[in-house]
This record gives sequence, C-alpha cells and structure tokens, in this order.
Amino acid sequence: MATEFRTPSGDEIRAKVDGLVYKIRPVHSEINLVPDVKNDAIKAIKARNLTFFICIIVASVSFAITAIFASIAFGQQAVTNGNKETIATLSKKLFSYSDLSNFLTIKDQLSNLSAISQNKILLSRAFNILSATIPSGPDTIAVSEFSINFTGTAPTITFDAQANAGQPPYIDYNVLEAFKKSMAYLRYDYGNYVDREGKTIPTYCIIEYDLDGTILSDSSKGVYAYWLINGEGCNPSAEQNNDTESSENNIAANTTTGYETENYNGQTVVRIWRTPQFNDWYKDSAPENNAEPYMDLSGNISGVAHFVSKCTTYSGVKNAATGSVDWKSENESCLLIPGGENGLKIGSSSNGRDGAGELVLRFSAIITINQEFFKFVNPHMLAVAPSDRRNVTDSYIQIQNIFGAPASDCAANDAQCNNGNGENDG
Amino acid sequence: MAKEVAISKRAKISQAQQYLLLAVVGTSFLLGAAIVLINYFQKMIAFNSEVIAAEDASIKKYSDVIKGIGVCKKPSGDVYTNEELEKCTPDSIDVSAIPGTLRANIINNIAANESLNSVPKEADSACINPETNKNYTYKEMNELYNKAENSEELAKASTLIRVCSALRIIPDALPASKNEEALLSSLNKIFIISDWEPSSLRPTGDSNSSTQFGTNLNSISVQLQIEANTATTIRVLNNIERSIRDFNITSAKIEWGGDNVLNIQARANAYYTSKSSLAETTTTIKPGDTK
Repeated sequence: MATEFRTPSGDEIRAKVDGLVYKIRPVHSEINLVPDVKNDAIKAIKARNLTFFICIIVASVSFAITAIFASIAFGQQAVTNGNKETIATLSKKLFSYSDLSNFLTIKDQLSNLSAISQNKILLSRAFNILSATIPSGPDTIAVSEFSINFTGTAPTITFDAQANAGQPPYIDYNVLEAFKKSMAYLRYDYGNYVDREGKTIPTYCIIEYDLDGTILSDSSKGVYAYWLINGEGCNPSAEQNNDTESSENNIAANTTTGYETENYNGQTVVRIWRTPQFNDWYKDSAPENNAEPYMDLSGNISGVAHFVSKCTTYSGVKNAATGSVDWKSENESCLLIPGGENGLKIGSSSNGRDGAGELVLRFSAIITINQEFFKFVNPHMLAVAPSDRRNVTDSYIQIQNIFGAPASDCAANDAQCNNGNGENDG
Repeated sequence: MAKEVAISKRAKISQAQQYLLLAVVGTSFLLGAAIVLINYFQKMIAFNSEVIAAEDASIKKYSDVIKGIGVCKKPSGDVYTNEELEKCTPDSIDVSAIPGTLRANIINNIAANESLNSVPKEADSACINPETNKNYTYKEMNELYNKAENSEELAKASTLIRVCSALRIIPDALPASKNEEALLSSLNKIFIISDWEPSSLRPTGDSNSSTQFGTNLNSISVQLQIEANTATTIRVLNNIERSIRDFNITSAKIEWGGDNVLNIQARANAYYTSKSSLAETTTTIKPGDTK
C-alpha cells in the first residue's frame, strides 16, 4: 500500500491509495472521497439516462407525429369510402327516375328551339328588298331570275335583269348607274308595336298586310297595322291588370277600353300607326297623362299605341314665328346594303331585246344584303326605299311588276339593237 | 477490493455506453422510419385530399342535378345527406313539393300553357278520359302524375301529359328523332292549307349530325320546288315560314315563268334533336399529379 501525494494544480491534492485516486481540496475544506472510475460511471450512467430520455422523447414525438399523420390518412380513407357510397347512392337515385331522359329531351328541345329562332331566316323578305331596290319611274328594271344565298357571312342576291330607259336611247347605262347609286340610300326598319302603356304587343297579334299582301297604309297619313286586341295573349296591359278568375267578357270589355276599335274581316282591331302622326300626336294628349302631348319634340311617344322603331328616330323643331313644327326622321344605322354603292356589283351587261321585243340593257348583278334584314327575330321588318321609289310592299301585284321575261342578246343582223340607240316600236 | 470495484464500474460504464449506443441507433432507426412514414402519409394525405375534393365536387354536381331536375325534394343543406336520399322516391313526388325545378316547370308551366294548348290538335283516343268520355283536362293529367306511386304509373301519366297537354307542341316543333316521313307530312299539311299540290316532294337525303348552333341538334336538308301563280307561291312560302316546325332556307332560286307564274326552288334545313340523356364520367386522379 503506497501513498503518493502530488499537486497537479494549486487547488487540488490527489492521493493515490491502493491504485485509487482521491481528491483532496484542503483550501475549501471539501474532500471528494468518490473515486474517478465511479465518477466516470456516474457520468456514463447520467449520459445514458439523458440519451435514453432524449431518445424516448424523440421516439415518442416521432411516433405521435406518425400516428397523427396515419390517423389523418386513414381518416381520409374512411371519408373517401363514405363519399364513394354517397356518390353511388346519388347516381342510383338520379338514374332511377324513369322520366329523366324525357324531361332532359324536352329541356334540350326548348333551348334548341330558341337557338333555331335566333338563326331563322325569312326568304319572303327578299321580295321586300326587290320592291325597294327596283326603280318604277319612266326607267324600269325587270328581273327575270334571281337567286339568294344565305350560307356565307352575308346574304347575297344574284340576279339577271334588263333595264329600259323608257325613252330614247332605250339602252342607257345611266339607268344602271342610277340604280347602283341608289344602293347607298336603302335602309331597313324594324321594331315592335306597343300599347298606350308602352308594353310590347306580340307579333302574332299584328296584321300589317291586306289579303293581297299589300302593306296597310294611308296615302296621306302613312303606314299602319291592325292590332287584334281581343286575341289570346294579345293585350299585355290588360292581362297583367286582370285577375285570372275574370270572365272572358270582362277581359274583352277592359282590354278595349280607351281604344278606338274597328272591324277588319270580322275581327275587332285597333289601328296603330307605324308612321308617327306628328302634328296630331304633338297636339293631342292623354287625360291620364296630365295633358302631356303624345309626342314631344325629341320624338318620344307615350300615352298612345304606336310603333317603337329600332332604327328610325324622330325629332321636331318648333318655328317660333308660326308655331308650326318641322319634323324630321332619321335612319343612319340600319343600312340595307352595308357596302352602299359598292354593295352592288354588275357582273356583265349587253344590249338586247326583252320578251316584248323592246330594246333593253341586259345585265347581271350581285347585291350583298345586311343579314339583320332576314332574321326572324327582328320583327315587323320593312325595307325603306328612297322617296322617289315605289311604296315598299310584298304585294303580289308589285311582285309581278318586278319580274319580266328574260331578255335575249341582240341578233347579229339587228343593227338598231347593236347600236343601242334605236327607238322602240311602242 | 478496490480493483474489483473499479472493474465493475468500468463494466458499468461500458454497459452504459453500449446502451447509449443502442438507444441512439434504435432511436435513429425509429426517427428514420418515422420520417419515411410521415413522408408517405403526407403524400397520402395530399392525394386523399385531392380525391376527397373531387368526390365532394361530384357530390355537389350530383346534388345540383338532382335538385335542378327535381328528382328528389330539395336538401336541407347544399348537398344531399344519406338520410335525405333514403327518403327520396323519384317516381312518386308531388311536383308542388319541388317548385322551380325542371320537372315542376315542365309539368306546371309548359304543360299547362294555355297559348300552347290552344294550338289545334288532332283527335287522339289516348287523350280521352274513360271516366268522363272527354279529353283529359290538364288538372286530371296533373293529378294522375302527382299520384303516381311507382315507375309504371309515372310512365303512364308522363306519356299522357306529353301526348295530350301543351307539351305535345314541342315534338311537333322539334322532334327527337329523324323521322323523314313526319317531316314530309308536316310539309304536306302546309301545302294543303296553302291550296297547292306539289308535283314532287322529297328530302335530299343529306343530314348533318350537328349544326352551327344548338347542342344535340341535327338537320335534314330538304329541297322544295314551288311553281304556281304569284299569290299561291307567296302563300306557300309564308306558311312554310310560319310553320311550327322550323324550316331554315339556306339558298333559293326564284324565276319568273311568265303568265304570272313564279317558280321557287329552295334548299332548306329542318331540324331534329337526339334523345337526351345524362352520361356519367369517371375521372382518374393519379398520385403523381399531386404537387
């Protein structure tokens, strides 16, 4: 048993007894009697415990987080399975309804009918265009054949015609020139007829043409239409005001109240002027309208059944000295031939004789028309001709006047025809 | 004695160090596994979220369709619960309980529409009520429809409404089948009321499965030739344009035949729809799509 003392540092004395090192701190009167190995063992155990603790914490946290994620994931699986079942039930319910296909078909049919109406074209309006474009003065143009094509971006009318100047020289290119220039002045007009409360009258309740197809008009007062006021669904204001339980007689009595009715082909009708009755309406007033005139100088019409044009506007200027009003109507936006003069292209022209043997200028032309003119959805459409043209109608008689037998080119030995300045026999 | 103590202590130290190492290794393994699992679950959650969102959207769509058509009464919330679906019996619902739906609008509004109903109809024995020996009134048909308790009764009442109420006008205006004979019959009726007899009448045989406008809309091309005096030709043309079955003229050639004869050769389209149905679509969501 050897005893050895040494001082490695100033504060501590170490004693080695039987191989064990003892630390002695005499200065602070503390004696550490725990051997180093035990100290190391204690440290090692402490470190192990601390590591165990940290490991347990880490493992627990990892497990907890993993468990949370797993529970969310598996919870979602459960939700997904539930959703799948719900979708299957919804699908089963939906397709178990035996009328499903029928009602869907009706729905599709209704929406398609609306689309068809939006795109529907009225060929009969082509006659209205011809009436407006073809001159009817001393110089005449007769159409022998025309074809109309709606498949392009704008409808085109291609026609063969013959122009007769009506006086020598009968074959006169000025007629063709004037015809071409008139294209820029052609307009169309459409809109709705409204009752005195301004409510739109359905199109089927309006008669615009007589039995011959001539537009209803008065030579001094202009164009008018007949309103079938007692027709089913024809009186928008009355139908709104009356109870559904009211008798038909009551409705009829109420609907015509305040309107001057006429009898037209056995039907009770009300005349509605398409052409505003400027001075009359400016003077007249509706009693319930606090004596305001039916029409003011800005062209606003109220209190009387009238035509609401989508194209034409009216205005008046009062002459301070005389008190009279100068009325003006304008239609700048609804061009029948959008290209104006260039909207008519002459394909070919030659001298010839018509079916009656008269000298004529044969020509073929193409006119590009505004598509809006032919659309079914634009109601009460009318082509508006320059003032020196015939009244534009679809009259059968006028349609007859538009057409003529095709002319033929001059025969080689027909000098009068070939020179183009001869006189007609008639 | 001290040496033995030292040895045992060192053994303890060594053991502690081993345990420490084992604990660290084990924990590292656990942590690694947890990280892998968390990553896996995270992806799974993201994917599941996408699936659930798609399923929720489907449920909403189904609910909207069922609600809009009027297959079941309206749900208490946005979508139908399983309880509400269990209670729903699509073929026996009083349409007054499903206002604003396609089914109610068709049965209550269109079928009852007086203006549509005023269009003259041809006699149909199926429309005679055996109890009254008169045509079924809308009220009687509606009652039969609302009292239907199964698909058979509903189908009977539904057919009655479609054939005998104002709804009959819709297939007249736009049939749900091609049926060229019916088309020729429609045109023939127009010619009869126009006091004109065509020398020939035929569809061109051309038909398109789709048109520029409308969905599920098909067209049949028809070639018309009208040669008569001006008044008759215009009358035929006007009646074609006024027909409840739409004829859309695509091109026409008009010739003056002399002696007041007007000759119109026109090409027109008549339309029909295909029978509509609902189709279910399946969308596949792949885990790789999740970002």
